[in-house]
Amino acid sequence: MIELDSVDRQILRALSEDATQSASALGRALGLSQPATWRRIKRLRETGVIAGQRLDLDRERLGFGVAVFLGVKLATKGRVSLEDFERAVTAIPEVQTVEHILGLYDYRLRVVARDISDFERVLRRRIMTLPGVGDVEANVLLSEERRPGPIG
Amino acid sequence: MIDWRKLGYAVEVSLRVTLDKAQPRAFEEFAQAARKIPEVLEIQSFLGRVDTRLSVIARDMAHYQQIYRESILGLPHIADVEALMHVARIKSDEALPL
Repeated sequence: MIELDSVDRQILRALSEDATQSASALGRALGLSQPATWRRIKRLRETGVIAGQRLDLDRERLGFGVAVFLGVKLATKGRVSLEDFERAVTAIPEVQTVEHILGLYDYRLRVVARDISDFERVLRRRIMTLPGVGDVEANVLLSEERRPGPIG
Repeated sequence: MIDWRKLGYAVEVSLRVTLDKAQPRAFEEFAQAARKIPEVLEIQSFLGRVDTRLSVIARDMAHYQQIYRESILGLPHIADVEALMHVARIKSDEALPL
């Protein structure tokens, strides 16, 4: 586990809000020199605490009006079928995330589509034909909010 | 993107929450209170069998239990909670099929 001090936490908080800030601008805001800030950011990246940067696209403006979360239960289980299912599901472009979970379902998928009829196409042609797929539950996303998390 | 596992948060749980629909402002009040829990990473609302979903992280199962008992169960308008535990992320790029 990586230990953070209060300055690391401030840097993380600032970068989660705006990852494009330069080390010198960030340093000025926090009262640190540019090299000191840069060294801290470099350590956060090298230790993998900062896993990467993501471009936040507005999916609705790009014409993807619908996001649906699918809970998928596999009909047949076993090592081979899990791998087959995972390989096939990750290859579907409309599937944005795949999470293996424990509980009511085996997998949780985030699927985007242009509209409901486009979603129906994805569901029928791509999801229901996946190897080993069993029960599928769909929940249409109405709102979502990401929180900064326990940075401290 | 922060890798919370690297910061010692080994547990990630999806909480599917059913709200008391007799309350017109149930979701707003629920979301407002959920924002005050630092371990809550995502708040989503749905049309379907599930009303809302919280993504919650914890250091270990004991810590999760503490968050669940002390913070989550105190949220307003909860009718039912169902927990799903994350095992692995198979795909997470969130790219759009452009």
